[in-house]
Amino acid sequence: MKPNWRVIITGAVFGAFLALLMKLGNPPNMGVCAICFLRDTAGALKLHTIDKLSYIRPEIIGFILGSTVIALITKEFKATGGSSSILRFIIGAFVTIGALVFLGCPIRMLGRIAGGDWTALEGLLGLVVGIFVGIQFLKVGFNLGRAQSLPNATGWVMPFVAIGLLILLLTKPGFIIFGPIKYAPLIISLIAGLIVSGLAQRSRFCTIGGIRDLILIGDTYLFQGLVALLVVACIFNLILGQFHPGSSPIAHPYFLWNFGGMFLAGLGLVMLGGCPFRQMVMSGYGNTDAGITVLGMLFGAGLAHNFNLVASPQSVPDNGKMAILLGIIVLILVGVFSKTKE
Amino acid sequence: MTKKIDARGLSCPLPVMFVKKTIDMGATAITVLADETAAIANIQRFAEQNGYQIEIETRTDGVKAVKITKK
Repeated sequence: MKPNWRVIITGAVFGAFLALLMKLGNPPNMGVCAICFLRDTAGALKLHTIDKLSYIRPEIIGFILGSTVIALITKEFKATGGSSSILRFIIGAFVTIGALVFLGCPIRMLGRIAGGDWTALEGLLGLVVGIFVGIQFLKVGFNLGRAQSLPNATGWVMPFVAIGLLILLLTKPGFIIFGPIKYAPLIISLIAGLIVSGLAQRSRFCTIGGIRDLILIGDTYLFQGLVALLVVACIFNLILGQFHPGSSPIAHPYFLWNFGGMFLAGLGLVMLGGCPFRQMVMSGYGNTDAGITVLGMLFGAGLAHNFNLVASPQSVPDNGKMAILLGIIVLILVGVFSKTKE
Repeated sequence: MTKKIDARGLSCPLPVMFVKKTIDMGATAITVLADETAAIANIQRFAEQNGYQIEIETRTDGVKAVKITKK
């Protein structure tokens, strides 16, 4: 197996930031979570009304804009889109509901394991099975269709959304909600987001792609990044006194729903072609299909809290369980019926 | 005979899946049209790992023609 240093470095830097940002104030057993941070951003924009989960997360802004900067330097910025946009929006929303029933995106899941939270292994199992099932749909012809080249202005929508969020974060106008929430210093969070996004733009780091390519074609290129993230986050957690075996803050111990939530997320993310973080990175360099997916995730996060779908450390609400089952049915229908002649 | 695959606009992993399927069907020479850097990198890695050599040409419209031939 040939080491692929670009993706290993991306994973290692991400792993270090997971632990460091937690030490600097981000929520415990989290550090960074693409979905939870979108949820907090949704709260700040009043897409849900839970004040203690409302804050425009600078990491999200960095995840989008880091790749914009690098893509402009490398001349890879290119507006594309039109591949089943509305289905991507819906799948993005269901993926978010699944992740919020588990309580984390695939990156937080790895971070939880690296901090000794073994309940996240249940989520990992669900994610892998979900990816496996998603691959079976790909093998029998599932396809969201081709993307086209688009006018360049379209590709700038998500970078400008991110710039708008940054302005709101810096100016803190009264109509934006900044709740009592744990967060690391703004500038450090923003720089961390920019760095990992810039690195990922070059290396194509993706948690879903890592597991998918390993199962599908035995390719370890992206998987090496996941291992690097896990190992480095674990080492930093040990150094910083954040490794607590068996401890699971902001998580729950219900196997079926840890598994089910991440099964739904894994299945949907294979259909979308990349993890939530990767969707944000791609949206930064002009991929409007990824952009609409991120907006679907933002919508899903609002929906999840407004309709009491989200798990808490104490319980998984019945509404959340029903939403997972509905999501699995919808995604299976999409998998069966979304095919092109290719 | 050279097999042709049009992978333009397709997101990962479809381009590399189509290449794998074509190779599994016994093709020894394939030309893939692709426009996504990640897809081209995936195809290149997969082909090289399976004993094929790669030649990439950039067309005037920016699309890459990836020529895959058995070593």
